[in-house]
Amino acid sequence: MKLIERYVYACIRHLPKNIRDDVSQELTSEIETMIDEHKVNGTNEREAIQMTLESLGDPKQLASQYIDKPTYLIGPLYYPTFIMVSKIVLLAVTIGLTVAFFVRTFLQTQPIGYSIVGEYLASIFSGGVQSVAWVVFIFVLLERADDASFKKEITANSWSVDQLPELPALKKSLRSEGIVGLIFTLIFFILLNTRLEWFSAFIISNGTQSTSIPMFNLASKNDWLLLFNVSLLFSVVVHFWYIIKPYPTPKQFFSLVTLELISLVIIVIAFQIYSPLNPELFIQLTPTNQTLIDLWGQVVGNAGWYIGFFGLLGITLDSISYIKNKR
Amino acid sequence: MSIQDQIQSILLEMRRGTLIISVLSQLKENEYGYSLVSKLEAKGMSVEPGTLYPLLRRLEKQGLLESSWDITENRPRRYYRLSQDGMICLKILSSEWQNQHDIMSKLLSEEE
Repeated sequence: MKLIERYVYACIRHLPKNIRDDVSQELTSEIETMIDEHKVNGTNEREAIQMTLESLGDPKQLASQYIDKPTYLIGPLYYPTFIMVSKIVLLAVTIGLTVAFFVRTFLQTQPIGYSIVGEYLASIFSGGVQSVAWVVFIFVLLERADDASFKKEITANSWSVDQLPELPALKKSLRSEGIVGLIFTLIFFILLNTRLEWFSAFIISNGTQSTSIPMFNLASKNDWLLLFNVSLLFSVVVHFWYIIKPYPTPKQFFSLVTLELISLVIIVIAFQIYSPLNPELFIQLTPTNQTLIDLWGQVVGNAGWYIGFFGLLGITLDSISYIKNKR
Repeated sequence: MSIQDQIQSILLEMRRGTLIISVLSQLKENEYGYSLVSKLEAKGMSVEPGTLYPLLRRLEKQGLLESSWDITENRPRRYYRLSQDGMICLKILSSEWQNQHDIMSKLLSEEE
């Protein structure tokens, strides 16, 4: 009897908790009936148990038949793209952090010690892990969204020829733009969240001593960084979309433009409310040059509007280019 | 893959396609998992218990079957039977099966 319990346990441990007890009860009852049937035909108990359990097969496989939802995070449709994007992202993060490391060591004029190299390796490791985690997260969302929309399409039977993707040879692919955009967005995201001090101006005085003046406003960091991250997340989703669906239909393109606009609005709000740029940058850099100090004051005060304007210009040009291509 | 393996694989696909309609057709009366395996077996339709038990639960979840536990006997058993939707579904599937059967007969007689 212990063997039956072990078999049932080996099966139900792979099932969702809410159905385990029910399946366990039913399976036990069925197994016992099957064993009785073997015993009626003259088989001894031990052999009857063995024959029954073997006829049910591998409990893991049996469990898989009870589960009607996909048990994978990223399915076969997206897996090759997931691998491609992960490789690109890892390469981009490594290159970005290496360049930043060399620039920083060059400006610091300090001998390269074990601690700096260790910090560099740790940043590559944590940056790599973080970026791949983001890639996995976004692909999981895509997989689930695609699954839901596929089921919806099947139910509605609403497919039409307008939804067919464009042929690669005829229309402009947005995949390369998506890849480049994704790389830069992710590098910026990781540096912003882990190495904010690298965005600094370095003053070398007396030939050896260097002072760093942060470009960003560290005092209100917690406020603006959150908005930056939200905006970057929207941006990452857009770039991913371009990589996965490089020839978007008009409906998809409209959704993408909406996401880009949301991302832009958030960044403009972050700049206008929390002033993420260090207002004292030029006071510390060039304390005697009033013109530069005033100019920087103007930039800090209106940076959100400048970004908003150029962002909107970019989105408009992309939309015009898309419409032209479509025609 | 040898020709024998290919035939086995095609036969398996064919049997998979007929499994649901076979199961539905035998559930006008209450049956528990193993009794249904035996019933199908006796009528020439061999089905693995490990395939049938999860299938019964899936069909119940889809609303084609309904189930209830019988605890009056010394061994509690879960009995399945066709639901209202299941009956409608079986009727449509049976008619479609007849249709497919006629088409296939015509196609295969042309082959001969």
